[in-house]
Amino acid sequence: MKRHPGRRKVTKAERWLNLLAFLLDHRYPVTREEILSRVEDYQQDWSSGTETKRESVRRKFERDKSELRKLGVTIEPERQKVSGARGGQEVEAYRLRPTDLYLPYLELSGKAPAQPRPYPLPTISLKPDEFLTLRRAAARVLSLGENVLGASAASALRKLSFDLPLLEPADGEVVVHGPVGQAFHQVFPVLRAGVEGRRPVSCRYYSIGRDADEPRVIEPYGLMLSWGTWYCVARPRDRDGLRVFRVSRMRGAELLAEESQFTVPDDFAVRSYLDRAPWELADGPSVRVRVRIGFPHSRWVLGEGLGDVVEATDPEGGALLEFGVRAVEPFVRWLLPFGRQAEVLEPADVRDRLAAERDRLRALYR
Amino acid sequence: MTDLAEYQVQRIVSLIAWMSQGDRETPVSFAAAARHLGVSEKTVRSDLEVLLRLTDELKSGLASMQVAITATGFILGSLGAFRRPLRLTGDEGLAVIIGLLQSRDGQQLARRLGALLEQAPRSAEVDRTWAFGPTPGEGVSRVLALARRARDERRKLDLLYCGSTAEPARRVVHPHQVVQDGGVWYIIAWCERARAVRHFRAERVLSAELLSEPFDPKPAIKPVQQRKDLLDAPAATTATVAFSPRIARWQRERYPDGQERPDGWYLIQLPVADPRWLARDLLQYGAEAEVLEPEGMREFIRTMVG
Repeated sequence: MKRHPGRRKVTKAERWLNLLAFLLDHRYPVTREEILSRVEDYQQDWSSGTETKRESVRRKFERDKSELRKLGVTIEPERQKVSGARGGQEVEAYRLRPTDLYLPYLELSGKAPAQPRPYPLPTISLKPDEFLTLRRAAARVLSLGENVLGASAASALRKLSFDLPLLEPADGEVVVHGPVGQAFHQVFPVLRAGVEGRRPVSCRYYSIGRDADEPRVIEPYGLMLSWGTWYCVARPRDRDGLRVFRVSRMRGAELLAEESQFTVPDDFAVRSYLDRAPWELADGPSVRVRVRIGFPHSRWVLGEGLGDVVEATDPEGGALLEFGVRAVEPFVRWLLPFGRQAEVLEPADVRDRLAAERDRLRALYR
Repeated sequence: MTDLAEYQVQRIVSLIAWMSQGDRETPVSFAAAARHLGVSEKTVRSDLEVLLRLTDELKSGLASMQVAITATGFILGSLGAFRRPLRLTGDEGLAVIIGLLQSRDGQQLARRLGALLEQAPRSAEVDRTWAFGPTPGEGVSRVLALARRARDERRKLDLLYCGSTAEPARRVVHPHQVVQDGGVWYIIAWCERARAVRHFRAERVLSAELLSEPFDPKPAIKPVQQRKDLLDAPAATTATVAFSPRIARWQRERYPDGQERPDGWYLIQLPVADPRWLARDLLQYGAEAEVLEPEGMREFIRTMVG
């Protein structure tokens, strides 16, 4: 490659790769002085002699260490005694072992490694059933899509499949997802930071029940993807108890100050909200709704694990079921596609809501 | 993925590791490298520029690195540093742990991998704060397990299946894929009775039996890769759907290519491969969504509502 005249600009990626290669090449701790005077991009300003420039190089090195930590690379100083001019004096020295940088080896138990093993690293041995579990987990996390952790899942998978090529899900196992709005990309990272840092989040939230868009301050406890929709389980600061917020109805999310951090009760687990149907996710009290569902729709409802069977109503497989309903609107809309195969027996107000919704649809499609 | 230094360094190390695995003398095309890394060829070229600059002058840590551009691609290899991918980052570890925690048998493995990969957050904390589902019920899990075995072992599967309107019927199928869309699982299979590919909803399978008879995969079957592929069918038509002003703002975000009507309703075009699927999807909005045309689709919804 042609050499550029004068001093060329070294990118951060180049500097980091130079630094990592330099440290790996030394099997003993290297003093900061040596690093800064020999690694390209530090060395020019470090060697120029002015104290201002040297101080700026020190700061750059500290920033690099901190940013590399996010990559999983820890470059921590060891106290090292040096001899010579500063005999007996302790200085900061750095050592990067392969275990601090590289992924451990992965292998299927009982199978010889497919790849050469150039570095002394620990080995994670997976049993065949664990391998299948990991493969299904990989397919599942890829479903998070580019919107959430999908890119991280894809790069994790690329790394893990270095030793286990069959880990990459084939076309045979796919999770697809619908589009999300632009606002999601702004809101989701803020909620995630709130959950991880236990910091409250302010936002505007559209409540479909009240048809109102209002400012809210919430303490986000957890995030879940249920039936293809992302929800945040949170405690609103102006109300008692936990609520389930649909992320797509949030706007302008902002992380509030660290001083207002909250505590999450020890017994909280977002998983306990996961398998609830959409009509079970609202705030209100749960009402028991009794519904007769004809065959074959009854089979699908039972197959999805929804509702409690009260009795089988006919020999073909129709059923009388009971549902705990906190939000009537999503429940009624879930029943609509069943047509006359679904009949609400009680309570009367839910029966009337279903009838009214059907009337509106009939009027629309007259 | 934003091309920040942290992504570029990960990618470059992965590229060096991958290329150092095999024959270091045979060039690899930019397209193959791009496919492997899941990026564009332009990004691969830009990564190679960094590597060329890095090895431009002799450095002790990179002395054994070889990089050259050839007529058909490039050669890259190392005998020293970067012959393995880097450890998982926090987000990569989080993604793996979340995936494992969602299955009944993945929790122990999540704890073990979390501890070994170190950068991964504590699995107990992740388990409290992240979840995705729904978890398939026992019956659906059993059907999916059989479908996966049939797919992997290329054995026929005998289903007693009950579609939306038909009576339960027996079908012998050749499973090709298991696809999940918003909590609903589909078995994508060649159906011997229909002599065509069909999408079977797992919860509508009344019983399933794995047969010993093998099948030859049909090479012409187009795999489902995105949600729209689930709707693909040769006879697909298009429906014009209007959403009321009350829900238009959300639909505008989901379908930005729609059209505004002066009265505030929002119009979009949707493919109709399976009228039942579209009707179910739209009825979740009640009378806030209306199919304007074709008339056949309107008639279908009229009949469905009863």
